[in-house]
Amino acid sequence: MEAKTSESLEKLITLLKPPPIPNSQPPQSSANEKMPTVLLYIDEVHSAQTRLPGDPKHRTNYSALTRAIDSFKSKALLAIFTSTMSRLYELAPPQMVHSSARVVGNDAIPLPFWELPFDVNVGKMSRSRLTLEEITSTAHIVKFGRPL
Amino acid sequence: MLTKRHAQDGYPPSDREVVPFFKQQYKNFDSARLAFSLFLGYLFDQVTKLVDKDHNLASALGWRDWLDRQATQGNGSNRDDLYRRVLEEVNLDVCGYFSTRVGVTSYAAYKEIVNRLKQTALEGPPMVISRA
Repeated sequence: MEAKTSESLEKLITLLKPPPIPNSQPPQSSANEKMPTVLLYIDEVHSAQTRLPGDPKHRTNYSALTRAIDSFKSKALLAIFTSTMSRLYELAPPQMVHSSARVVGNDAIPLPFWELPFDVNVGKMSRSRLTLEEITSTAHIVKFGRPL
Repeated sequence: MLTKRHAQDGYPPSDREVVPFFKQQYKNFDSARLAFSLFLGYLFDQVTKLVDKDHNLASALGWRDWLDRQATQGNGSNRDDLYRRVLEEVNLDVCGYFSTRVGVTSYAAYKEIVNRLKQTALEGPPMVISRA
């Protein structure tokens, strides 16, 4: 099953990658090849904290979701989980008490962002008159610099 | 246009279907992982089809604007339509999987599972949270 899902993702990545520019030189670094092409964004992820019945490791749906996404780790995919709930310690517990042995003692695992500011660029916004349609457009909203 | 339920708690109708899918109790870890893998697979398939048809959707901006637009067929926005289709496919596939794994052989039992999954998907959100 995961192989099929991985194949679906590969098709999407291939489709989304910009075509090479004619007569251009290949990228110098392999870093560009590892840049994410697909951004998977899951909001309100605390909804997936349902405990799995009888699971000896006390895992939740969220654990199963991250395991499903983990099968794409070699792909150009970046997954971001966000939540407005403050009980994030249940989603990102300290390494030492994590249910996965791969996480315990693995310093390569990024720490979660616990608190993010809101509208960080609002002071830099121009005060020009805008129509209601312009204010509600994505192009305008992204100028606020909201991390969420 | 905001629906009555949307206006009350800020959740778009698509969340009303997707949130219960991620919240529902699965039989065990492997069942949950399978359901989420299927969801992602069908989501990638649907997005691939859409981008292949209209390459403007390949950019984050184009994609976001498309999601918010009214669907040409069916009710609600393209976002609602997309997630409804993905969940329908997942539910049917999960039922097919369980029918082979746990020996659900009768059509009545099969329909029972489909109906139960649909019922779960139609339940409201787990809690009301004001969105940032």
